Amino acid sequence: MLILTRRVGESIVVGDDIVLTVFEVRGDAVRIGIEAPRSVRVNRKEVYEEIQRSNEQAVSSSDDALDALRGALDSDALDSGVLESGAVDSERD
Amino acid sequence: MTSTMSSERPTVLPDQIAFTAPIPGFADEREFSITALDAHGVLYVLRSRRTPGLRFVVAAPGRFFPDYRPALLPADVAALGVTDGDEVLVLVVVTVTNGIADATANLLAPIVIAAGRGTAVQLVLADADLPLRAPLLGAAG
Repeated sequence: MLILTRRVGESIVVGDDIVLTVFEVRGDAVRIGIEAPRSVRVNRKEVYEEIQRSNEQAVSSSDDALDALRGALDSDALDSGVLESGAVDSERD
Repeated sequence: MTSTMSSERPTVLPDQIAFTAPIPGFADEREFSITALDAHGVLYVLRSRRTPGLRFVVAAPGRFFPDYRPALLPADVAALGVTDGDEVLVLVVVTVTNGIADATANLLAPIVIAAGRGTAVQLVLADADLPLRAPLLGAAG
């Protein structure tokens, strides 16, 4: 890993069109400005990793559980709009 | 640039979509078929063209989360190649482990589809307060 020292207001250029600028340092927090092309997606690492994990769980959804979910959708309870009010229909089979 | 965004149930979903940016965790899977799972236009299966055993269950959020109106920034929709007036549809990824009670939807990172183009991205929304695992059928489950 390349480690560079920068002061507030100084920048790092990555490739030709990505610029990271240190805006503020306060305690153990650093505010960083990121300029990048639209095609480059920038995310906080922990958020990205959480979404990775969530996707991995999503693809392992079981067929049986899926059938149950589909069954619930076909029930009258769901069609009554109960869900859209945010309430829970505890009697749903 | 603005685009029409709807989180209502999609009525005109393409049969196939191609992700224009990697799906987190599934960078090699770009092309998916879309199949409706029910007659209500709520649940769909995205099945990988490359890995047929790989599938995501997705839902039109309006049915479960009527107030869900993710704000899409111009930079977000740019990846879809949409232009003014193109219809953009939002689907949420569903995880269901044991049954209905534990089904959740990922509201933080919806799948956004440019209906007319058949392109898609899984966006990480800037609103970090949106839940990654929102119970599908109410909080009490």
